[in-house]
Amino acid sequence: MTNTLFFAAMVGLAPPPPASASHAAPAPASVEAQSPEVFAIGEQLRCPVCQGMPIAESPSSMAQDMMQRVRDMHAQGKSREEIFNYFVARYGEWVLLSPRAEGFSLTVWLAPPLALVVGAAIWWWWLRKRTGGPVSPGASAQAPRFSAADEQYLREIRREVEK
Amino acid sequence: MNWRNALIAALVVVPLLILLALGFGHDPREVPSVLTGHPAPELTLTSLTGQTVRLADLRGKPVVVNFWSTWCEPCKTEAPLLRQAALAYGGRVHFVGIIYEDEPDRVRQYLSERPLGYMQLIDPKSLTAIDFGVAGVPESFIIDAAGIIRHKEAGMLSAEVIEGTLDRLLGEGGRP
Repeated sequence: MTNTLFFAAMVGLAPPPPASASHAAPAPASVEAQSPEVFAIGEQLRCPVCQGMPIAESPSSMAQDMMQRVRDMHAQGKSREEIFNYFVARYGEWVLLSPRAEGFSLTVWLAPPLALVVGAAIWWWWLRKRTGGPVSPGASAQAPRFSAADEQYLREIRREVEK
Repeated sequence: MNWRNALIAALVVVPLLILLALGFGHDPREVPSVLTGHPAPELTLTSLTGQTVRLADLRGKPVVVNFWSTWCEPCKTEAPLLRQAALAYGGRVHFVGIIYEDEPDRVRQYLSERPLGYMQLIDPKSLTAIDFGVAGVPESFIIDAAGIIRHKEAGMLSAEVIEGTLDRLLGEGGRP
């Protein structure tokens, strides 16, 4: 819905589509006229003549024809997976707005949590190095360890300051 | 910067640079072709002259399938090239135009002024375009004599691509 509102707001500002793109249809089929399942499937399929927009929300005639294909296949009793497979066989995995968690697409799902873990590890390692010992919740509150020479030097500074 | 920091920076920066290089190397609007090397989808369409055409009936010779439209400017630029190729390869190669998202009457009018010289098929509801994974026009498929898609061109064809692909297919005797 957010995408629909955003698109509706942007239509007046958007430049005309390139001549090699798809012909614009008068208006997308109303959401109410579609079954929720058909709409949900259309929300997962990328419109090939738009920029990152699902066919369920695109006003282009190509997207509307693709939605009609989804409706027809759904009416024939095809499952969601069978409909996705039909489009993937023609347009590739690219057509799925949520890539499947398999093959190379698996990196899309694994990379963010992996980056989070690696980032946390680097942060922990940096904190540990900075504090010079194991990191614990109270570590920052503890006094840092100094050598005897440093302690002596600090004592002299305090004495000078407190004069 | 000591060697450890340099190594960590390299481990972070180098993969990012590789990803960026790969990303900038691709056209973000390009739809990948997964049909090349696979059998062409079957089609049964009606031509502008009312003749029923099946792709299977055209087997035995290479086929050039061109999706186009009268509202597509690059298609008009490409048209003379296809007309010329259809003449040059006449009898050895089938040329088929599939009208994409357009009105048959408008196409008839257009072709009466600028004939292409090969059959033009009407594709109601873009069913055949979707079967071929078409993402805009012009888009062309060069199919060998056995019905396998050997080349897909998203955008305008060039003389080099047409001649290079067809000469290769004819040289192979149409073998896949």
